[in-house]
Amino acid sequence: MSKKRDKLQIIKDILETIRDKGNKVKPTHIMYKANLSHQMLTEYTNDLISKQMIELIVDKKGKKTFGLKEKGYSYLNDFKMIRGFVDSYGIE
Amino acid sequence: MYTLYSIESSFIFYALILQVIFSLVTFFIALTAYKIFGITQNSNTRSMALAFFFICISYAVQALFNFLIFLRVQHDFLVMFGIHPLSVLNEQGLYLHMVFMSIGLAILMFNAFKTNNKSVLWYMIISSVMVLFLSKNILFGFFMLTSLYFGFLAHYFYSNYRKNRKKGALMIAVSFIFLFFGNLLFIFMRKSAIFYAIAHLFDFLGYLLILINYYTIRK
Repeated sequence: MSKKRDKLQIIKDILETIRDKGNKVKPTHIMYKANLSHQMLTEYTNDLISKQMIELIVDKKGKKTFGLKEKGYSYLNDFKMIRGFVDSYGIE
Repeated sequence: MYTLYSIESSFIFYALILQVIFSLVTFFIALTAYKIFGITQNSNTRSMALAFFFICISYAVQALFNFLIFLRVQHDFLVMFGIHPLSVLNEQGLYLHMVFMSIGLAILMFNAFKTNNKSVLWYMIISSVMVLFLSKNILFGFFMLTSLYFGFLAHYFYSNYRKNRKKGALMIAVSFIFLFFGNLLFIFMRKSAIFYAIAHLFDFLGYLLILINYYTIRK
């Protein structure tokens, strides 16, 4: 049985999904790849947009996609450090 | 003018070196926590950065004043530049060290309580400063207070280790246990200077573990 993911891991999964799909991915793709419910996807993407890690791109036809921002890339690059620090000091 | 405590003059140099090291270690932790806050916008990491920054300043202040004492700066030289005589300088340095350290530890405790109620933080800071300045023996009050804080934090970090079983969490738990015993031993330094030296050794071991953990997570 797989271990339950914490918030840090879920954010990493979402950001990796966007990065691996060429920085332009539909919400449903994130749902399936990152294994999230629609409600969780909405909550996390709103949170990540407010923290400027990702951006919502709406094209002329009204199709929505997500793209990574600089902070999102920084999160992925520094994930090991963030994980190590949060685990060591018990930060939530 | 009264003296807060007397220590062996030979220890001042080693204590000074250790205080500089402690200041640097806590500065690195503060910097890392702030960097993580910049990425994640997590308010707990910002509090962490602030707490370690205050602790860093407390050691830096203590090191600076010990450095001036170590140099045995001439009385006239200090008065010429409007700085108080050496004994007052020593006490002012100690008071600043105690205030900054108390604030830093109060913020760490606030983080450990996992509450968003800021009034808890202000209550802890104000009580800490009041305990310091209303104590009959200010040094005894300070080391009792910090021992309580370090003891609570050691318990908190040990509980964190039991929850996640990570090596880093164990290192931090053990480091705060060392810091707790180090602060406790400072209470007895009036009895013998050896307690002062052993207390610094415990502090050194504590901050060494924090530094090793910092290196592990940054590499």
